[in-house]
Amino acid sequence: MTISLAFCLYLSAALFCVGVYGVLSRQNLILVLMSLELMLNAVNLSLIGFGRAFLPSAPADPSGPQVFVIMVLAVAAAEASVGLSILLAVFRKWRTTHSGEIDLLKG
Amino acid sequence: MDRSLVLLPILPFLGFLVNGLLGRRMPRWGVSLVGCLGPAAAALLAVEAFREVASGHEALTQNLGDWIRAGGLHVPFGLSVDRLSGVMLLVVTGVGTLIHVYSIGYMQEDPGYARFFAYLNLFLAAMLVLVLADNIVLLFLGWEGVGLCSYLLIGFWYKDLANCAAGMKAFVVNRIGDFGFILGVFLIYVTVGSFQFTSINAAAATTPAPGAFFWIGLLLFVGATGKSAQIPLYVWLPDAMAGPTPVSALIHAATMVTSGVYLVARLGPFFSASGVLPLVATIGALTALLAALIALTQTDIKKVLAYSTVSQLGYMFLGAGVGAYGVAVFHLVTHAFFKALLFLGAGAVIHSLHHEQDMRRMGGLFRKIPITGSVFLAGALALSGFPFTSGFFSKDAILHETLHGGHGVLYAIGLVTAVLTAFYTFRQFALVFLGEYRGDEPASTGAHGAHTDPHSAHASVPHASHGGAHAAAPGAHGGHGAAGIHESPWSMHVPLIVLTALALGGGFLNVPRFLEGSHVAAAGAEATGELSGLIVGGTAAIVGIAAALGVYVGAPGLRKRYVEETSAGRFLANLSYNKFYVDEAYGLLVVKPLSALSVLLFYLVDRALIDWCLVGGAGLFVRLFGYSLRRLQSGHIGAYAVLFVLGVLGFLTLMVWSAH
Amino acid sequence: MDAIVFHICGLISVIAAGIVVTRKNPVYSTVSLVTFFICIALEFLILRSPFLAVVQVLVYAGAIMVLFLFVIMLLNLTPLELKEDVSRRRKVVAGAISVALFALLATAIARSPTVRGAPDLAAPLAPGPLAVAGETEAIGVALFTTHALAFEYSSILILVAIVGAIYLTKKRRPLRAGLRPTGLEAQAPGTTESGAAPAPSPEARRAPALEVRASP
Repeated sequence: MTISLAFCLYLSAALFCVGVYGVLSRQNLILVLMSLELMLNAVNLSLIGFGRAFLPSAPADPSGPQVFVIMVLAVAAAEASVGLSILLAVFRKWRTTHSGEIDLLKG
Repeated sequence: MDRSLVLLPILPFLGFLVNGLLGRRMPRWGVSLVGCLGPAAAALLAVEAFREVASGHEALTQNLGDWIRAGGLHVPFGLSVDRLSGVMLLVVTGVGTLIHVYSIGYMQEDPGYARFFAYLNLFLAAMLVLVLADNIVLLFLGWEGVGLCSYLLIGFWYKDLANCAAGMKAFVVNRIGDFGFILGVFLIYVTVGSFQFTSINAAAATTPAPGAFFWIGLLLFVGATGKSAQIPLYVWLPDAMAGPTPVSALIHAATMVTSGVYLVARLGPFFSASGVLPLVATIGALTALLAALIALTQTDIKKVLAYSTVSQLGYMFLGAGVGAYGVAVFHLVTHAFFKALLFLGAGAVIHSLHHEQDMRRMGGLFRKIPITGSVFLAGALALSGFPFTSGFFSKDAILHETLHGGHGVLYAIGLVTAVLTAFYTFRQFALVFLGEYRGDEPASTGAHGAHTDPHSAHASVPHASHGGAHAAAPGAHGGHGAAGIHESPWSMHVPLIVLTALALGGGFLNVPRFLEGSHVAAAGAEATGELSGLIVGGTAAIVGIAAALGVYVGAPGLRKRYVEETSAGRFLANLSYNKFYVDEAYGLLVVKPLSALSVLLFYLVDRALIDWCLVGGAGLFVRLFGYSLRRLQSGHIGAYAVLFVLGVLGFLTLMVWSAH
Repeated sequence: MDAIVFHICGLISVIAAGIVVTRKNPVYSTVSLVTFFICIALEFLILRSPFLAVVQVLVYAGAIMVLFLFVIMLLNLTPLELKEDVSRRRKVVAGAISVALFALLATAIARSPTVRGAPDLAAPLAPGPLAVAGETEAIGVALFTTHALAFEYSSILILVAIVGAIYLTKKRRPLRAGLRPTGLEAQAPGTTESGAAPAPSPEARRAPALEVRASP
C-alpha cells in the first residue's frame, strides 16, 4: 500500500476543521485552547507530509520542514502557557470560564 | 485717445463706488459733485473720441486683455469707437450728464440722495460698456448691468411694495428677452466662431446665408424686444414709471431702452442678411400703433410718456427693419432729446405740484409755471413731428424709407400712428397746461371750476361717477399748503433749456449722412428726403395737433357726444384705458400656470421627494445600517471568532478561485 | 505495513479529535487529546521524522497537557459551572463553517497538480542526506546554521511567554500597613487574602442559588 500525499493532506485538513469546530462552538475557554492545539498539530502533520514528499527535489535544506515544525511547536507551547495564564487571571476576577459571560467588550 | 477709452466707463463707476460706499457720510453738495463729475468727465472724453472718429479715423480701439478664456473660447475686454458708437456716446453721456444735473434739484428732499446718484452712475458706466464693447459678450455685460440698474432704480423707493413689484416685473420680463439673447450668442459662436462684431458682420457676406442666421437674428431680436419694450415684452415699461422721474428720463427714454436699436444697428449687415428684418419692421410698426392707441386715454402724466416711448421705439425698429439703420439711429438721437425733455418737464410739473401725477387734477399750469410749460411745449412739438423740429426730420426719414422700401402697409400704419402721436401729445399738453386748474393746490383758482368745466369729465368715461367728486374731495394732495405752485429750481431748468435747444434744432444734425461712412447706413442716407414726403409728414403732425386742441380746448362737447355717450365709444376708450388687457392676459396665460407649477413642484419635489425620500431616507438608511452594525459588537468573543473564521474562509475561497 | 499503520493512526486521531471537541468534562477532553498527540507522533515516525515524533510526545503530551491538567485542577469547576448553554444555532453555524472549510481545502488539494504528482510517502529513501533529514543530528545542524535566526527568535518568544505567564498569574497581595500602592495592585483587588469579596458583576448575573467556591 502507499501513503499518498493527498491522503495525508486530507487527514490534516480534517483534523484542522475539527479544531475549527471546537474553537467556534465551545464556551469553556479551556476547551477552546485545546481545540487550538488540535489545529496546530494538524498543520504540523501537513508540514511533515510535504517535507517527506518533496525532499528529493530540495536537497539544499533537507531539514527545513522539521525545523519549521519545531518553530510551530515552540509557538504552540508559548501560546498555550500564556493563554492559560490569561484564563487564570480572568477566572480570578470573574469566577467563570464561560466565554459568554466575559463580554465587557460589548458595544 | 485709444488708450483712454476705458476711462469712459471707469469714471462713472468710480463715482458709483464713492457715492455708494461713502455717500451717507458726505455732505449733499459733495455727493452732487461726485455724482455729476463722473458723467461730465465721461462726456468730455466722449466729445474727444467723437472728434477723432469724425475727422476720419476709422475706429478707436482699446484691448485690455482677455476677459474670458476657456479652452478655445476667448472673449477679450475690447472697447472700440466708430461713428455709430461715437454718436451713441455723445447721446448717452450728454443727456446723461444733463439728467444728473437735473437730479440735484429734483431729488433734493429725498433721504436716499447718495444712493440715487450711486445707482445712476453705475447705470451710466454699464451703458458705456454696452456701447463701447467690440464683441457681443462684453455688450451683454453692459446689457445686464443696465438691466440691473433699471431694477434698482425703479424700485428706488423700495418701502412701497408696489415699486418693488414694478422693478421685479421689469427685471423678469427683461430676463425673458435676455434668454433669447443668450441663445443667440451661443448660436453665433457655433456658426460664426467669434464674438467680435467685425467678424459677425463679415460673416454676413457669405451667400447664401445659412438658416442659422435667421434664428440668430430672431433670438437677438427677442432680446431687443425685452430691452427696448416692443411687442410682446413691452409690459414692463409703463410699470417702470414707479421710479423717480430722472430715472424714467434717462433709462426708460433716452438710453437703456435704445440698447435694442443699437444692437440691431451695430449688427446691421448681419441682420440684413439674416432675413429677420421684415419681422422686425412689422413688430416695430405694430408696437408703435398699439402703444399710441393706449396712450390716447391714459391719465397719468408719466404713463402717457411711457407709452409714447414704446411707440417711438417701434418707429426706430420700423426704420431698422426696412434696412435704414442710419435713419433709425437718427430717430434714436432726436427721441433722446425730446423724450428726455418731456420727462424732465413732467418731472418739473410733478415737483411743482408736490408729487401730483394725475392729469385730471392739473390744468391751466401754463400761466403758473411758464418756463416749464414752454420747454414742455417744445418737446411736444418735436414729438409730434411739427415741421422743422428734430422729430419732424427723423420720423419723416423713417416713413420715407419705409415707403420707398416698398412696405406700403407699414407706411400706412406709421402715418396713422404719427397722427395719433401728435394727438395724444397735445391732449396731454392741453390737459396739463391749458384750460382751468382742476387740482387741490391752494393759490389755484380751478377748484371750484370743476363742476362747470367739462374737462374734468373728459377722462371719466370709465369712471363716470367721479365727475363731480373732484371739487368735493378735500385737498388730498395739497399737503404743502402755503407753498403753492411754483417753478422748479434753476438746477432743473438749465438741463431743460439745453434739451429744448437740442430738441428743436437737433434735426439739422444730419446724423444719417454722418453715419454713412460706417457700415451702419447701408441705406437711407438722406435725412432731407423728398419734399412730398416731408409735406405729408408735416401735415400729419399738424392734423393731429389741431384735432387734439380742438377736442380738448375748443369743443369739449364733441368728445362727450362721440366718446362718452356712445356705447362703441365707451367700449373703445375702455379698451385703450385698460391697455388692451395685455397684462391681464399675461397674468392668466403665463403667470398663473407658472405659479401653479411651482406650487406643485414644491409639494411634489421639494417636500415629498427631497425632504422625505432623500433626506429622510438617507437618515433612515444610516440609522438602520448603524443599528445592524452595532449588533455585531456583542462583546462575545465566540461571535468574534466566528466572524474571524468567516473572513479567513472568504479569503481562502478567493485564493482557490483565482488559482483555478 | 507503514501505510496500514498510518491509515489506522489517521482514523484514530480523527476520532480522538472528535472526542476532544465534544466532551463537557475537560478531563475527558484532555485524555483524548493525549491520545491524539500520540497518534500524531506515530504518524511522524512513519514519515521518517523520529526526532519530531519524540519531541511531540515530550512537549505536547508531556508538558502542555500537564499544564492543561494543572489549570483544570486549579479551576476546580463544579458541574454546574461546567454546564454550557451553547445555542443549537451556534453549533450549526460552527459545523457549517468547518464543513465549508474542509470542502475548500479538499478542493484545493484535489485540484493541485503538485499534490497529484507527489511520490509515495511510504517509499524507502535512498541513503544520503535526505534519508537522515529527520534525524536529530541533521535537525540540530540545520537549526544552528541555516535557521539560526529563527531559533533565536523562538527562544525570545519563549522567554516572553514565560514572563507573561508569570506576570499574569501573579497573585496581587493586599497592602501592608505603611506601603504605598502601585497602580497594579490597586487594579486587581479580587484576591482572597484579605477576605474581600471578588468582583460582583458575574455574580450578579448568575443565579443566586449557585454555590460559588472561592478560588484557593
